[in-house]
Parts: sequence; C-alpha cells; structure tokens
Amino acid sequence: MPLQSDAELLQAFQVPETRESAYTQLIRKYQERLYWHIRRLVVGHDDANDVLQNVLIRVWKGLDGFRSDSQLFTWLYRIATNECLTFLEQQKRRLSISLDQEGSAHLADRVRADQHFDADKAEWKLQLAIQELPEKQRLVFTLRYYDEMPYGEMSQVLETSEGALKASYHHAVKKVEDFLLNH
Amino acid sequence: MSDRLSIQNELKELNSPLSGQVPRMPYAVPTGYFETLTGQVLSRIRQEEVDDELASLAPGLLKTSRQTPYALPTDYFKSVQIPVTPSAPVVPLFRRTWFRYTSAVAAMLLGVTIWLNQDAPSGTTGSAGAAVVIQYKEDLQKLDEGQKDLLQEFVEAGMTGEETAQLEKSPALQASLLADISEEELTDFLEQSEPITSSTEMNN
Repeated sequence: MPLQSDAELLQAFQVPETRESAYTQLIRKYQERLYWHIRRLVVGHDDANDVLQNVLIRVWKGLDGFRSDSQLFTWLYRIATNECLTFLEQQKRRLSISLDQEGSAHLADRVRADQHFDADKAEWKLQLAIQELPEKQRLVFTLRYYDEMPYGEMSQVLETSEGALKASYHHAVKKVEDFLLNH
Repeated sequence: MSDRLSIQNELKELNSPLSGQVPRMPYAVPTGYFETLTGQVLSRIRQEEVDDELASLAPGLLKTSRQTPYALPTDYFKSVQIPVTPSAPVVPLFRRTWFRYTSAVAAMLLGVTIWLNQDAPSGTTGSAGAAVVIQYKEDLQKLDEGQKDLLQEFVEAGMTGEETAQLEKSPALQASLLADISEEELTDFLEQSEPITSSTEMNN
C-alpha cells in the first residue's frame, strides 16, 4: 500500500471503513523517528517500547480532535515528549530520586548497563554525556542534534521561545564538549 | 526539519568536537520490532475499547479475572490429533454386470405388474395381468431373505446409477436370479433399455 500524505491519512482516519488502515500507515510512517526520540530520553528498549505504545494509543484517541493548524509530526512529537517526561518523573518517584542531577546519573547508569556498551567508542561516550545534561537541555540537544528539528518546530513541541531554546542548545553543546574532553 | 548542514555549521561556530561527526545511535533494537509494533498497538487499542465499554456497563466486572477457570489435561493441545480416515472406495452397483442383468429383470417384472394394474378397470384385474402378478408373487416367494433385501435395496436406490449401495459379489445369487431368463430375453431387454453406464460414469 503506498504511503499517503498526512492530509490524506487524516482524512481517511475520519472514515470508519478506512480508519484502521490510515492509522496503521501513520504509525509505519512515523514509528521509527518517534521510537528513537523516546529511546534517547528513556534509554532502555523496554521502557521506550512502553512509552511509544502509550503515545500511539493517545494518538488514536486524539487524532479526531487534531487541528491542522500545526504539523502532524510536531503534534506527535509533543505527545511523545510529554509521555517521556511523565515516564521519567514516575521513574524518579519510584526510585525516590528527587534531584534532577541524580535522575540523570540514573540514566547514565542505564546506558552503561546496555549489553552493547563500549566506553571507548565515541557514540557511547556521547550518550553518557547527554544523560548528564539537565532534562530540558537533554531534550533540546537530542531534538536538534539527532532529529535535526528547526527551532520554530521545537518551539511548538516544547512550548518554549526560540531564543530560550537556542540558549539551551548552546549550553548543552558546551557541556557535552566538556564531558567528552574530560572522560 | 532543517538540513544537516545548518546544524553542522552551528556546531562549527560553537567549536564543538561534534562538528563534522555523523550522529549515530549505538543502541540496538530487537529484530522485527517495527514490523510487529502496529499489531501490538492495535490489539491494545481494541482491548482498551472493550475495557472502556465494560467500565461504562458494569465496572465491577473489570476487576474480575478473565482467566477461564477450567483445567485442561497436561499437554492436551499437543496430544490432540484430528483423525483423518481415508474415504472408502465406493463402487457403484451398476458397474457390476451381473447385477445389471438381475436388476433389469426385476425392474421389468415390476414395471409390467404396475402397468397391468393401471390399465385394469378399478376393482378388477385383467386375466393376463393377473397371471403375471401370480407368477411374480410365486417368484418372490422363491427368493430367500437375502435376495429379497437386495431387491428391496435396488428398488429404493433407483435406476440412475448414482446410488452408493454396495453388494457383495455372489455367484450363487447371480445364478439363481438368472436361472429362468434366456439369453435372448436379456439381449432384447438391454437393447430396449437406456444406456445406464454413461450416466454412472459421468457421475464418477
């Protein structure tokens, strides 16, 4: 089945007969990008899978009310980001971690626990550096560096001004650089 | 989405060591994960819809376990085998030559009797017809129980050759049924009869 445009998929989703197939195509179109966005933030695959499934169920329930005044992909990212933040918050509470920095340390431990972890490889070092960032900077850095998201779109996803996002990104890049130089 | 170049320029301006590097994710994903994700999500959606419906109709039922309490013998589904019995070969009765002769004679006798009875005035029986009927009854009395059963089976099965009744081959029976019939009578009968085998073969 050929992939349709977002507008066509949204239209097909409104029709009961084509609702499920439109939704299936929509998932297939965006699942990998959403997965990696989530995975970078929650680290483990099982957690990423749980969060992604919750996101996709929210999408199913909310797609009827989606207004085309923003891009579908931006809307999906916003849901995914919020779901990640909720998940990380719950995890912190479960582990009785109250400080943001301690939460990051926990995530860094999870990176080290990955069965493929190799401390000598640059990409793994970068993951450790990212997990050391405060939550907001981590989000901005991953959206910009990996997802190549323009500040305008990011502003819609994170509901923050473009100026503040640029500042966050610059801070994050400097912290990552320091980490890579010192580890 | 912006292109990679503008992000690289931005990193270069910041003198970041990330400048010039291609972003790579070292994490692994289980094989086939993205192929099965849609199915898993749709199945969860359906489950939630069922739960939501139940919650509105009878919230108490949601707390009840949906596990079926019945027990099964150990390895029941591994041991279950659906019996496959080969179908017994069905040989149409009319393929047997001796039976065709016998049945033709019996049918002829029966047909003549019925014809005579129909032509006779009500309440009376013609003398020729009466003679045939008497002869028929006498012949019938000569048959033993097995022969009567075979005749009955033939009459019930009809003349189409589609019946699946089977008869054990019995030379003694064949000889007794054909004892009083000359070759000439049989030849005449067969010449006047419709070819039975053609329809039988078509149906097989």
